[in-house]
Amino acid sequence: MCSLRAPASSQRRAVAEFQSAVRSRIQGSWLVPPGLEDRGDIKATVRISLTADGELAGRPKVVASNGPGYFNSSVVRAVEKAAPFPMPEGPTRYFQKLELNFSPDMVR
Amino acid sequence: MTRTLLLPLLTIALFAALARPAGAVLSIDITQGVRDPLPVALVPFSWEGEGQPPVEVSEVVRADLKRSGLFRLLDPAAFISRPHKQEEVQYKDFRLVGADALVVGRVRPGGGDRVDVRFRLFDVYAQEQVAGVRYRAPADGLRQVAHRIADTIHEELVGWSGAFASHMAYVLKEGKRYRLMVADADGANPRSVLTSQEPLLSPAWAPDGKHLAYVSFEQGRSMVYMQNLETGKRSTLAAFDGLNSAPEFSPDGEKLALSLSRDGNPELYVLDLASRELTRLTRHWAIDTEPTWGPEGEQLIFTSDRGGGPQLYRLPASGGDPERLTFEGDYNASPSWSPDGRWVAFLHGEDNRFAIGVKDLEKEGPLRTVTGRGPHESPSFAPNSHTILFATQATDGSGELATVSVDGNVHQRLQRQRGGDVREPAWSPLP
Repeated sequence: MCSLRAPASSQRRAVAEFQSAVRSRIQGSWLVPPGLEDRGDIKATVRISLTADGELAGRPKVVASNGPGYFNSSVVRAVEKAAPFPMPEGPTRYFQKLELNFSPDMVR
Repeated sequence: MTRTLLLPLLTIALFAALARPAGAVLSIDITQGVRDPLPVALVPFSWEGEGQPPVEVSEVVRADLKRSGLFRLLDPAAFISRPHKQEEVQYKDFRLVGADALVVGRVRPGGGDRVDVRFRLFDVYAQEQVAGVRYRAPADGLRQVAHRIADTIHEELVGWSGAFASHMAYVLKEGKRYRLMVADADGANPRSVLTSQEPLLSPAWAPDGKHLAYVSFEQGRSMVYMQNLETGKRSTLAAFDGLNSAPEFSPDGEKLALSLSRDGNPELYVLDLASRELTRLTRHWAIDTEPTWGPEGEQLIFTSDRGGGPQLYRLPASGGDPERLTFEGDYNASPSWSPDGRWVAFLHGEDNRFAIGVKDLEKEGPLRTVTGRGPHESPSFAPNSHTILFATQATDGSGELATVSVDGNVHQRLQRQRGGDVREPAWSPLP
């Protein structure tokens, strides 16, 4: 049982590290529109597909949003500027389809 | 035995984790970003006529966008290409110089004294046009066209108009002479609409943007006038015994709130402009003055010293009990209610030191000051509810108009009057 847990937890760690790396790259490139910085009620979901090298395989797609057009534009630009993303070692298939949930919650 | 079974089991478990059910995706939440101005590439517009263009339209647009503080205008010297039309745009050229948005345009003679202006705004990453407008205007209307273009860009990129195409009215005092002035929102084209040897006070815009109400002492006492800015014609709105002061048009333009002392001490009244019927709103021994209307015209915020010192109160436009709004500091006066209803800006003082204060009417919480302490006065909200205009003094003592964003982040100085004093600015509605 112990030997079963080890790879699962290393897998979880790889996922967490990848999520954290993607999040930090996108957060560094997201120019949040003024006035919306603390609007946690505004949400946009963007789907992206990555190549095995971490490049965008196509245009980011806003699949759901309750925000204005300029908010949606800002999240798409953030993703495009953040790419390519650092891919983990080994099989990458699990990391190539991502759903990014944008919702600004920046403390004033 | 156990070991030999374990390896395939392990492999299956791992693959089960990796091979997600169809449609499932790895989800990542993004809640933090960067607070930086949006980088904009503005390609100087082409001029397709003889000699020099009457106005460098794109330079006026550039100055407006820069002044808002929300954009970073990239240096055109670094541009790889300089498109003027849609078909000339190479998006990658502008990604490479770090632009998020691209503005291009053309200016050319349009027959007679008219000039044709076309502009387009593109999202460099979405690779699509966001806005495009064509204007035809006389040469002397080109600055106004440029302000409208800047307003469109501002609204498309950040969600609200820059109010660049609006105007401001203010009182200029030079020696013993008072001038009522109207200028563009950037301070350009100042013109005098009235000159007087006696004080002029409290200009207020009608919602049509074509009439101003103000207080004049031309007759040796205070009277409220309304003046048509196109014809210069004016009429008397209030010439009651005592003080006639602080006029403010209701949002529908049908009423005027003002402060009159005809019944003893200054009280708030509402004057119906069509019927001339006067309704008294307050009854108190204290001074009640400086009314400012809420967006629906159902409420007013005003200044009263009924609590000992000047503080802000709110009451229904039909009359009723005032509710006190400000409790911090010993002086809160000169209120301006934002057109969207959310904010009230005012002069906030403590121990005779004054700053522009802002209170959020939709949230509980302390008032915020959005400027440092200084010789500030008369805050007036822009029609976009995001910017506040006020009068102040430069270090050399000359009068100056300045703006500050409602979050306190963007400060601009508009105009300095050497040897003159600028007072009581009022920001017009959007044209």
